[in-house]
Amino acid sequence: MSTSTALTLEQGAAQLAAIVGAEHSIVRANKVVAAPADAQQVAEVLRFTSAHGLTVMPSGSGTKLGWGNPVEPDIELSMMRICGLREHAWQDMTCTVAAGCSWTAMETQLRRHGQMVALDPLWPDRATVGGIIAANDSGALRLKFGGLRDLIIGMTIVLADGTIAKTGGKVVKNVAGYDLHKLMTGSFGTHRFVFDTGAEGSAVYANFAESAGLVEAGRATLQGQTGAADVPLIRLSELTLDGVRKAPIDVVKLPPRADGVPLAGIVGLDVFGDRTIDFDLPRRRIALLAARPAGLVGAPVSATPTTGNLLTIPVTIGSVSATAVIDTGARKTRINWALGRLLGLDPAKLAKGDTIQGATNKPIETGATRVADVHLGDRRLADAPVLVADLPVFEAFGVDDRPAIILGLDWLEKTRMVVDFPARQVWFEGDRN
Amino acid sequence: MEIMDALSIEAAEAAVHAHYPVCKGLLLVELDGPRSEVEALMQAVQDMCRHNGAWEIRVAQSEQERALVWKGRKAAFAAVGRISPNYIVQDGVIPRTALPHLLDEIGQLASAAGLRVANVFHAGDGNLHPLVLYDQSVAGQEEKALELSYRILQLCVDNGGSITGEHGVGKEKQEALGYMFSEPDLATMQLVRCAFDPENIANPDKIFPRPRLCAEKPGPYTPHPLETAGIAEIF
Repeated sequence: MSTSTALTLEQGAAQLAAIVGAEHSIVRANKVVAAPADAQQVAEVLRFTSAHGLTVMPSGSGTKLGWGNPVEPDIELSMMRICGLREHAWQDMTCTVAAGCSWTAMETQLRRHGQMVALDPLWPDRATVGGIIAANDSGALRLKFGGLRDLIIGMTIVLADGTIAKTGGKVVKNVAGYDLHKLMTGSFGTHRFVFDTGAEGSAVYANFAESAGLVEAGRATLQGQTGAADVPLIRLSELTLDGVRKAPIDVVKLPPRADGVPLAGIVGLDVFGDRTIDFDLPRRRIALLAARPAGLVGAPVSATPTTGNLLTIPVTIGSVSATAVIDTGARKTRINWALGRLLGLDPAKLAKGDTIQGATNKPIETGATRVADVHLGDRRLADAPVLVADLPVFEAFGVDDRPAIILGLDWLEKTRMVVDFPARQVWFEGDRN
Repeated sequence: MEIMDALSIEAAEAAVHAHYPVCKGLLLVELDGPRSEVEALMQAVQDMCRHNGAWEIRVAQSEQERALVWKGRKAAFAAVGRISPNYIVQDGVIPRTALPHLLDEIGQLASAAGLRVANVFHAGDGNLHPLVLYDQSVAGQEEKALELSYRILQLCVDNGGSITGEHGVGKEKQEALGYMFSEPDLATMQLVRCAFDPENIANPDKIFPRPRLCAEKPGPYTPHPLETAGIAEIF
């Protein structure tokens, strides 16, 4: 399959067949088409795909698949078996209908009691209720009766991680909780991935490696942030990500995560170290680019490579200068005591910070505090949280001999960062408040 | 379309003297539109009422009569103050067809609790406003009234309805929201809340059953220290 997995189409189809039944999981045109029978099966399929980092495209009868850019998913999740009008409380003038039910089929049933849904979407004989909602389609009747979102009073939705959630209800007037069904109307669908500029090499977690049938092909020493560990290596025949293709590639097999977050693996510099990465967390957008994007404002910060091609940049906190390692794989920013002492921090007075579990799962205690007047290139943070500890990762990054910072997501999420790896330049977008 | 029951009619009559009939329940219907359309529809409404056993139908003959009938309905909440020293206004929703059955059940709950419940509501959309009457000066009666009021909300949910039709969830209905929605439902809504308000600064500690902060893990309810000490109580 295309993205970060080594499953073949046939393996994927076989795994999905165990959920939806063999006759409903078939390989067609370089993807697996799976047709679950109910919401429970949809959730199981999505748990499987999110555990394996597979891309999914939900589909109905396909009338609007040509809208927007075409997508090439690993899995097409067909709603066509989840069909029919489930309930028509005609005296209450409400109905419950399945995603795969065609508009005409629904209207035919409603007409038996002289009722209709006051909307005239395109291709009603084929278009499904789910597809019409996802695409927020409507017609001329909207002018008199309002749009689709006004007609939906409740919904059962399945999130990408397999969570089944209800929203709204079957009553016509209701202000309890969030109207997620209005949010879902016209949502089309989205997906996510983890980028880690602090990871030298890519890795997969053992639970994913096992379920994907990946075999160990050697051993290596992994320098995690809390220490070194001897770990097995796995050879992937191919890994493709946003236009970058690596084949073959050796990745580290990590033990399952201690925090239970269902990640399949980590993509590191071995995959995107020769590209420009546009890491725009405030807008929830990450892109791998062949060249730096146009229109970057302000001066770049020159970066210096350190161990394993990782980049470091100068950062100042007040009047103190320090070396910062850009690490999008770290949730929280950490500093070593060489910097802590220069900032006048007192170990006895620090609050207890997180116990850090790195990729190698060895726990280390830290102190927590805040620092003021931070300058990252053109970007200034008035006040920012840090964890303080002499973690082995400073040594691994080759910066343990000087005041150093591991720049984590808690600082990076406030700003857009563009890293041009070949030119060793980093931009931080100025304040945007 | 509005409905008033015997208790609320009694209260409204005492307040505005609208000359309501003495009866167990009253349906107020107002139509809006071009005169000819309204006249035709009003005939249909009257036929429907008669067919369903209405024993008296009055059509307002003047603007003053119309205004007086509405004045009683609109003053009903305040007027209940004339027949009870304290009361709780509730706001629940049910599918419209569940109305007769639900009113019976509310009546049974009320008599079991030894309290009176006046019902005023929007008949057209299933949005109920039961008024739970009580006397604060009688020891324990307020607690009983709050419990009854919460039971009515549960009844609405059990009948496929909602805990609020138009007034929303703030602090008082936090726990009731947990009765209406399951953990994954609330966790999904929380994703939306955290996306817009990651630091929990917009109306903090409202809507979601506690503990429900962005950083907090969902789990079983943990009592507030005041509650443990017996000083405050959560309903």
